[in-house]
Amino acid sequence: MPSLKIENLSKSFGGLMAVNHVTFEVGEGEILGLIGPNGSGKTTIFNLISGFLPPDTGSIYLRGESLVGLKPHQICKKGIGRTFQIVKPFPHLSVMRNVRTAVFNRGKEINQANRQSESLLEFVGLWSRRNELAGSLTLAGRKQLELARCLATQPKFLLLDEVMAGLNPVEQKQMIELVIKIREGGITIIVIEHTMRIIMTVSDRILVLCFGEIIAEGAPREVAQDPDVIKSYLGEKYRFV
Amino acid sequence: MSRNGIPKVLFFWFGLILISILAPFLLPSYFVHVLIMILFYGYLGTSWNILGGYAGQFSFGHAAFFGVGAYASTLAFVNWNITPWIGMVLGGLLGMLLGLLIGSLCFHYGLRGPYFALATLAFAELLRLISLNLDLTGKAMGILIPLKGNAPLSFQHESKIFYYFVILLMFIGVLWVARWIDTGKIGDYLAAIREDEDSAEAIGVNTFSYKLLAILISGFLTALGGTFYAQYFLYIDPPVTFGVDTSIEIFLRPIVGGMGTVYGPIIGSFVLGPLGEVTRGILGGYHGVHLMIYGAILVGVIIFLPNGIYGWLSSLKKKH
Repeated sequence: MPSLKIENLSKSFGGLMAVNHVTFEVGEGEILGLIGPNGSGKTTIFNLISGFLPPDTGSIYLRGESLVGLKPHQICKKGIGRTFQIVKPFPHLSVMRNVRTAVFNRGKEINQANRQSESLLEFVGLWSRRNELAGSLTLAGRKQLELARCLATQPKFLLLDEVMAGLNPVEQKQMIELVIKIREGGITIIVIEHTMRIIMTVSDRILVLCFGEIIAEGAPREVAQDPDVIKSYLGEKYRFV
Repeated sequence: MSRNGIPKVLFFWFGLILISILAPFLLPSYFVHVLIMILFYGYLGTSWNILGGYAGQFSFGHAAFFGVGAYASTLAFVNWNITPWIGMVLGGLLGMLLGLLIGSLCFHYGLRGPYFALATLAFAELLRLISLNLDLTGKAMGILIPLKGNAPLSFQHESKIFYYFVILLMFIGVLWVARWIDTGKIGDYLAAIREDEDSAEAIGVNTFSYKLLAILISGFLTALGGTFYAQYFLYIDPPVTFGVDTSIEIFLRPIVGGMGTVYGPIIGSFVLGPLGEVTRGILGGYHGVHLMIYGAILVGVIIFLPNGIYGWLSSLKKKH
C-alpha cells in the first residue's frame, strides 16, 4: 500500500487553477522531490495535504485513510508533519519550549517532554542554543528548529517546504544529511526545493509541476533530461551531472 | 542554602505566609482595605491573564464576566435567599456559559486581535444596557444587598478581616491555577496559539478548543471575583459591574506587571493599587486624576517595559 495517495486533486483561487487534477502516490520510506517554477502549485499541494486549505475536488489518503475535511491539528495527529516555506517559529519562546510544545502532540508528561526535546535539538544541532529565544536564531537555526519541531510531533510522513533555501553550502550539506537520516528512521518525505543539486541528491523520484499540472515524473536523471521540463523550468543550459 | 541547611526559599515562603496572616490584625482598617483591593485586582488580573496573557486573546470586556458573577449571586440571594457562597458557584458557571457563547462565536469566525477585543467589549456593553433596563436587575438604581451583620454563612461580615482572608484564599487558588497552566502542556499550547496560530495547528494544537478552554477558565474565575465585589461593597449597579472602567482596571495590572506570567498581575496590582490610593488621597478633590496617572503609567510601560515589570526584572536577572 502506498504511504500517501492523491487522486484528482484540484484547487482554484478565483479563476486561477493553482492545482489542476493532480494524481500521484508516494511509497513507504520514499523521498519524493517536488519541483516547478514559482506559482506552479507546490506549496498549495502541501497546504491541501496538511489541511490548511480544503481541496475543491479530489481525495487524499494516508495509508488508506482519507484526510479530506480534517483540520490541520487532526492531520498532524494522523502523522503528517509539515514545515513552512516562510519559517514560523514561536519567536518569543525559547528554542527548547518551541520543540516541547510539539512533543506534547503525543503525550503530556513534562519531564519526558523535556528529555525528548533535548534529544531532538541535539539531533538537528541546536542543543547548545536551547535556552535562547527562537526569534534570535539565524535563518539556518530557524530552519533547523522548524524541522526539530516537526519531528517532535512524531510524524510518519513529512512535508518539507524549502528547508534548504537561503542556507549556505555548508548548512545545506548538514541539512541534506539530516533529511537522509530522517528517512533512514522510517519516515516518508516529500521535499520542495529549488536548488537542483539538492533535489537531485536527496530524491528517489521527482515530480515536476507547471501551472498546477504534473508535466513529468520519474527518477532524477530521467526528469532532468525531459524536454518539457527543460523548456518550462530548468532552462536549455541545464546539464544534469 | 543557609547555615543550618534549611533552604532560603523556605524561609521566604514561611515569612510571606506569616506576614499574610498577621497583616490584617496589625494594620489599621484602611490599610486592610488597600490590601484587599490589591489582592482583589491581582485575582481579577490573573483570571484575565489566562485568556489575555497566556492565550494572547486580548479581552477588552472582562467586566461582562465580572458583572454576570456579581448579579448572579446577588439576584439569587435577594430573590431566593440562596447564600452567596452557592450563588458564587452559580455565577462562575454562568460566567463559563458566557465564555462558551463569546468564545464559540468569536473563535469560530476567527476573530483575532483588535476584532476579538471589540467583540468582548460589545458583549460587556450589551449586558450593561440590559441590566440598565431590566426591572429584575433594578435598572440604574442597582441592587442593595440586605445587611445581615456578622453572617459569614451569608458571605457578610462587619470586619474587613473576614473579606481579607476570603480574597487571600481566592487569590492563592487563582495563583495555583495559573501556575498549573504555566508549567504544563496547556501553558505551552496557549503560548503557541499566542505566538502563531498556523504553526500551532501544524504541530497538533487544536487552537479552537484551547482558546475556548482559556475563555471558560477565565470567565469562571472572573465571575467569582464579581461575587466577592458584590459582597464586599454590598451594592452593585450596571456601570460599576459591566462598565468599561472595570474592564480596564482588570487588564491594566497584568499589562503593567507582565502578561502571560504567573506573578505579573500581582506585581502590577502591588504597584498600581497603592499608587491609585495615594493619588486619590493627595488629589482627591480632582475627580479622575488617578485615571490620568494610570494612563501615563500605561503609556510608559508599553514604551519602556513591553514585557511588563516582571519581564524587565527577569531580563535583569539574566544579565547578571
